[in-house]
Amino acid sequence: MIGPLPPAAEGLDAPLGEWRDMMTRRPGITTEDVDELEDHLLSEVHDLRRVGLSPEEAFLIAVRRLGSPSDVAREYGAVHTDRLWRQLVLTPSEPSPAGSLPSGWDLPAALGLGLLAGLATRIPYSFMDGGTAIDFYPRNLAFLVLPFLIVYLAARAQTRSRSGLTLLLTVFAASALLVNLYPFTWPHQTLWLTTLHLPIALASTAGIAYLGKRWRSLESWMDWVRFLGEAVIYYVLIVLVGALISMLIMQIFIAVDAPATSTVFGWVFPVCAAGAVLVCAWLVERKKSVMDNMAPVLTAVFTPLLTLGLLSFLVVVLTGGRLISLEREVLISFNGLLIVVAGVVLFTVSARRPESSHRGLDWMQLILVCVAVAVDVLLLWAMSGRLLEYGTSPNKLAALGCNVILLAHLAGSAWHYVRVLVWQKPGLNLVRWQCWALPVFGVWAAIVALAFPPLFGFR
Amino acid sequence: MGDGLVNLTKDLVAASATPIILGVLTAGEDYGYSILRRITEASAGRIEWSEGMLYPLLHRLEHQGLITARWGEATLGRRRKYYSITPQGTAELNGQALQWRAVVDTLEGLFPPPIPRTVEA
Repeated sequence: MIGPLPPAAEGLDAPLGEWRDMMTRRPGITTEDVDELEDHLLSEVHDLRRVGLSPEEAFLIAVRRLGSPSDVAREYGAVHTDRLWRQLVLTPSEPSPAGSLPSGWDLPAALGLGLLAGLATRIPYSFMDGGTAIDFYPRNLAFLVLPFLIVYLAARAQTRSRSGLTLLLTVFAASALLVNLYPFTWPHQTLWLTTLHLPIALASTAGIAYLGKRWRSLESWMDWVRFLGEAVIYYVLIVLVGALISMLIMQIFIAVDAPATSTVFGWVFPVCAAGAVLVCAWLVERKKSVMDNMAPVLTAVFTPLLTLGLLSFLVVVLTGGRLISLEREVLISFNGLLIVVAGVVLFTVSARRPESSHRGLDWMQLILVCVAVAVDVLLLWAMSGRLLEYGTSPNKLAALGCNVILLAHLAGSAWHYVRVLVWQKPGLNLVRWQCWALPVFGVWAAIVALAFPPLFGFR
Repeated sequence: MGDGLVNLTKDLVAASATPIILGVLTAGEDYGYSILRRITEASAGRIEWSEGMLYPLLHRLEHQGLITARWGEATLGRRRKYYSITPQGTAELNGQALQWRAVVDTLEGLFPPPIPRTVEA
């Protein structure tokens, strides 16, 4: 078999491509490193074929001789410790699929659109007096930022669905029109409900742009849940650090009595706050290939804490025997806590790998969910008590509806966890159940935001 | 194939890797796969590394300034990374050579004579 051979890579395009993908995804390895390793691999394949092996056999042996990818990646990481961090920002992640934004444009596009979102948020304020602004922003804040996010997501997405984007556009246009036509009046309960719920509803729908042609399949909405979870965590981090740094800088300027300090910061804060949304979107996509996602790690850490908190609440309330007399503020905070629990369950399931069984974490989740169901029943009891005692109000009904959905979500999760843990059923139904959560919460948020005001006479 | 494969301990591999690579590169510029083959040849097949580990090691030596790297072309038009030794690397190799000779000479005087091997078929 000795003699001139065709190029070593012949017929190996598919396995070679897979191997490249697998290596590139490892943290600490750059595409240049993979190029070098590929040259090695092909040299070896070439030599092995000279002794009579088929291309596939030669490739398998060459890959095996290269050693375990995780060991090699760890060595690279140990040599270039800086890379794990630098890679986060500087090198393009994966080549973009045809028809979407080239990956080199990711960051410029995110920054540019972020700046536009920031300016769109800030500029109207310059043409308003305080009274108009306090009426304008609660209604319109979501419409000033989210369209830019949607443009970015649609440009980044691998596919775009014409019908989906049309639907998205219709939803945004219709709700913008409705919200600005609503004649909200004192005491503005429904206005604040709309302000709170509309961004949730619209952000949920924005997933259509992110998912492209996959938006009709329920399972793929889990990707949007993951995206939102990560993005929210990034946003909180960025805002905390940003606020700290700008406060320090502002102190310096105030100390030297610099002119126009408040005007400059009056622009910098809102523009950055809105622009950070786009930066978060970029970071989530960028980081996806580098590290394990952060949301599942955080949720695993906070599961025991939440369980303890809710358990002690149950004990205090049940021993104190003050069921209906729960204060309004307590109800609101525990409502918020239950939403967090639902989020924790959602993210934990979204990161749950069907093949690996982390039984410990699953049991912890089940306990948390059961406690949360008990607390939720208690809250619903207290809420209906208040409803009967003081009559209905938009706030009470919104909270009641939210808790009913939470109860259904948590109870369903508990049921599916029991099936997985006790009856050893596959986790598929558990995941499917979680997939419903975002669309259902999104629809409920839309109902509260758009249907409650007319129902309650815009009060 | 000499005396067959000798499994070096991890520590010994780590200690000997630098002088071995630098030694190979004193003969001139070379690329990863060829470096490995020349190590196998020089050791008469007794020393074999997990091949993927060579590259992070080359990068480490590059970081330390003992070798430099450049991208070139392979015969088949692929990109190939070539490494060559720097003056600092040569100095390091000379230093290490002194140390290793001292160790080898000492061991030569102390080790029991090799057990005669039964002839392999």
